[in-house]
Amino acid sequence: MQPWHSLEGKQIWVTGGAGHLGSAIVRELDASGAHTLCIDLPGKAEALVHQHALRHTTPAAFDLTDVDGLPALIAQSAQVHGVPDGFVHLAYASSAGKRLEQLTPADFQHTFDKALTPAFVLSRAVAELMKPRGSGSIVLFSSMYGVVAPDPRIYPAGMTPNPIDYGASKAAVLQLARYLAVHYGPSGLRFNCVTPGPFPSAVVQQTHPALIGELSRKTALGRIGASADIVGPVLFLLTDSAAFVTGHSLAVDGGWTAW
Amino acid sequence: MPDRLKNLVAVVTGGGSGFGESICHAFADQGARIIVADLNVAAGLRVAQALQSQGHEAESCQVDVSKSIDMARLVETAVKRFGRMDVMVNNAGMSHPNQPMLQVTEAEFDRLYQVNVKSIYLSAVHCVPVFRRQGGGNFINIASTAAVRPRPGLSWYNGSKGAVVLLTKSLAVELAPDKIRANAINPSIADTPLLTTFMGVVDTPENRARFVASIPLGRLCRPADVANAAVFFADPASEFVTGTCLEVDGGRCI
Repeated sequence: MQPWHSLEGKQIWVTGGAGHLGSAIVRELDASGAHTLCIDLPGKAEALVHQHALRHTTPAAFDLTDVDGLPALIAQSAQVHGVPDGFVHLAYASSAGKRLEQLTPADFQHTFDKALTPAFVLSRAVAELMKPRGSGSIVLFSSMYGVVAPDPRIYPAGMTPNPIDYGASKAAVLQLARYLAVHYGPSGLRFNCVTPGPFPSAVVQQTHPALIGELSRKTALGRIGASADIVGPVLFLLTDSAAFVTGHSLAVDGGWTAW
Repeated sequence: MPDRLKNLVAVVTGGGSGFGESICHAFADQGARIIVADLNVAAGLRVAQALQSQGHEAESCQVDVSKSIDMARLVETAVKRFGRMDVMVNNAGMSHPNQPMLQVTEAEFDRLYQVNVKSIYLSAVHCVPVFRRQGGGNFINIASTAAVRPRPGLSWYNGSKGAVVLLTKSLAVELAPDKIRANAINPSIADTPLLTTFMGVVDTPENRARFVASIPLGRLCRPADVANAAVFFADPASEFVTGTCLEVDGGRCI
C-alpha cells in the first residue's frame, strides 16, 4: 500500500493558491515537502511564500483569463519545474455578482468566458503534458451551488444571493471533470471535483454575522467550513491513496447536500 | 504522514477477508486499534494475529451482523478492550449470485437484507449510545456502485446497497448534532471473495476483461483502494465531510 498522503517531492501546481482556501492547501503541501507552484494574481503568491516562510513553494503569476496564452504558459512552466504530478484549479474569476433580474447576457457570458473556459483550457493543457508519463491527478473546484440552488431568504436585504451565473458555471465544472475523467482514464490520469459547502471569506464572516448563522444552520454539522477543512480532502484526491477515484464530486460541505 | 488515526479505536465488520482485511491493516498502519469482527472465527483470528505480529493492538470478535445480541457484544468488546470506540466500519455484506431476479428465493432475500441493511440499523442501535457518551463518532459504510448504477442479475443486492447509501445520509443528518459523522464508500467490482458471485460466470481472464472494459481506469477495484478511502473518512482531517458517498470505481459510474 502507498504511504498515506505522501506528496513529498511531488510537483503540485495550485491556481488561486494564495486565496482563502488555496493558501491553506499550499501551506500544507509545503509542509509535506511537495514542490508547489503557487499561482495567483501578481504579488499575492510572493506575499504568501514570504509571510509563511514556505520552503518548497515557488510563487507564480499567470493571467488565467488569457485562454489563448495559457497552453504556452503551462508548457513553459513545465519546462522550468517539470510536468506536475498534481494540479489543483481553485482560481475563479468571479461573476459580476448581480441580482438575477439585473444580469445582462454579457455579464452571464463574461462569467463563463473568464471562469469556465480557462478551467477547460488549463485542464486539457496539463493533461496533455501528463499523458505521456501515464499518471497525474487533477482536482477542480465546483460548489454546493453547482449541485443545489441558494435559498434567497437567507441573504440579508441588499445582498445579492449567490448569483445564477456562478452556480451554472460550477455545475458545468462537475461535468468537465466527468468528461475529462473518462477521456483521459485510459492514459492513467484522474480528474475529480472538490465540491465545497459554505466557506465564506473572513470579510463576509465579519460583515454578515446573521448570514453566517443561516449558512451554519443549513449544514448538518451546524457550522461553516474553516479553510483547514478543505485541505485533507484535496490532499486525498492528489495522492495515490485515491488511485481508483476518478470523475467524483467530493462534497466537503458539512452535510449541506446530504439532505 | 503516518499515525493519522493515532489512538482511535475502530471496529471493522467482515474484517477477516477482502475489503475488511485491507481496512484493518490500513487503519492499524495509521495507528488505530482494531477489533476485527467476522462471522468466520478463523478468518477474524488470522487477521487479528497478523496485526498483533506487526506490533499493532488488535482483537478478533465473532459476530453475525444481523443479530442484535452479537452487535451488542461487539461494541461491548471494543469498549471493554480499548476503553472507547471511535469508528464503526460496516463492511460485512453479501450478495445472491448474479441471476434472474425471480430465481432469488424469499429466504435468500430475507437473509440478504438482514446482513446488508438490518446490520446498519443494529450498528446504529448499539454504537450511537457509545458515540453520544464520548461526544462523537464515525460511521463508514461500505455500499457499492450497485447503489448508483445497477447491473442486471443483481437486483435485490442493488436495492440493499441503495438502502445503505440512503441510510448513510440519514445517519449523517440526524446524528450530526451529536458530532457523529457518516459516509459511504461505493466500490466497483473487485478481486475479493465475492467476485464470482457478482460476475455470475466463471472467473476467467476473458470474463474479467468484460467487467474491466466498463471501467475508464482499466482495472478492477483493489481492497487497498477501499481501505485508503476508509482511512480518509476516519481521518480527523475530513471533519467537515459527512453524508457523502465516495465512488471508488475507476470512473465506472460516470
